[in-house]
Amino acid sequence: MSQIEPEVAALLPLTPAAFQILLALAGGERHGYGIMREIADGSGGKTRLGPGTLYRSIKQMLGAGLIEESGERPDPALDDERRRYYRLTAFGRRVARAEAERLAQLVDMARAKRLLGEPGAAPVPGGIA
Amino acid sequence: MSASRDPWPVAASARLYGALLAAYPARFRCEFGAEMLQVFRDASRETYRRRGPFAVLRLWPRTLGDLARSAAAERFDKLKRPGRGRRRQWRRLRSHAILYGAYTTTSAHFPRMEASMGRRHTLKRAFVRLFRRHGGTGRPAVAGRSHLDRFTNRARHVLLLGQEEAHRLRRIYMGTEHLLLGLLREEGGVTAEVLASLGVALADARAEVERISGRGDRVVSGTVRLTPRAKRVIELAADEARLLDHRYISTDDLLLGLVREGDGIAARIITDRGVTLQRAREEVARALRERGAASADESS
Repeated sequence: MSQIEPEVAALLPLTPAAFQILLALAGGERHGYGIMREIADGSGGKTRLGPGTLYRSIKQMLGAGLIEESGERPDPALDDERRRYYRLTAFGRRVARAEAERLAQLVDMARAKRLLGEPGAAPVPGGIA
Repeated sequence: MSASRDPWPVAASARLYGALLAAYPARFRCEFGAEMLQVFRDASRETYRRRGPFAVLRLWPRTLGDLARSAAAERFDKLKRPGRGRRRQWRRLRSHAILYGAYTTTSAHFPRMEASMGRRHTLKRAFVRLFRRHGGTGRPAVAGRSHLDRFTNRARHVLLLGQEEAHRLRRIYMGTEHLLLGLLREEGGVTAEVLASLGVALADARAEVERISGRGDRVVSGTVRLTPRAKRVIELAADEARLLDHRYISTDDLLLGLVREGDGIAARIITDRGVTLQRAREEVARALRERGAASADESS
């Protein structure tokens, strides 16, 4: 396993909400509602973050330097209200990668113990926790 | 605003959610409240569009759960803050208790005082103001993120004008003196009148700034950075806005921030005209009060 920097390791494991938000932002800048939509769509509607949880996490991640604000502008797909956009910092990207590796490691262990099928097999009913 | 074109279930839902945001601590609400409402409104609109008006109603159980949990967690976090934070909390509680005791004894002994004050300036409101100031934290929150997002349009313009002034003087950093020049140049705001009434005029101030901090020798272009002192002024302005319960940081707050910082060139220019910093505060407060006659002071 690659060496993790201590300041990255200090933040792991991330809360599920935080990791979801980082994932959503890994695909590019998003505003609050965009993050919420992406998380809902990505999980097939199973994970839904309310605004309170979302912004609590955003506040903590801003404080930890994982994400930063990236200007206010309207979203062409929605109305013309100005929205605050967020994006990952370089540090945030490293933390997201480290967390993804940690989770991948866990998934490998689960496969080894036959809890999970091989990659590409049909999803286990009930979803993955 | 497109919010006015919302179907009534969405609009009513959004209004209720906006009111319920009071559950969150003030600082969190100030920072994120507008966004949270926006997100809720977006989600309600989309639900309405996809699944009709009753689906909007069905959003509420989940929303209430999210609200209750996250508001409780935020408030709990505030109490959990270790060391200095907790001592500050206790000091605030104690000063609140003292002032509350003073208020109750005063209003008991001087019932006529309450009655003789105008509807606007009740004794209770005066004490609440005193609570806020006395019990407020000693240091402004150093968020590590820009307060610029909460500037009013006029305040943003002041920054731009200040930057122009810095360019004019070929300075690579924008200091408190350039902020002051920006405030003086911004016409139409109450702040310009206040400065005029204090005897600070644009032409003199410009000459003074050039005399004190000088002109650079190379033409500067692009964004001018703020000096550490100017950054501190902005932080203090954000704190002033918080103390006055302003949602956004306005030019008045910037002026108060300048005055409160007290040591920069801008403060020196003000005091060189024989204006004490205390008097500057009073003038701003007076102007705010006069202007506040029509504003949403009541609804806070």
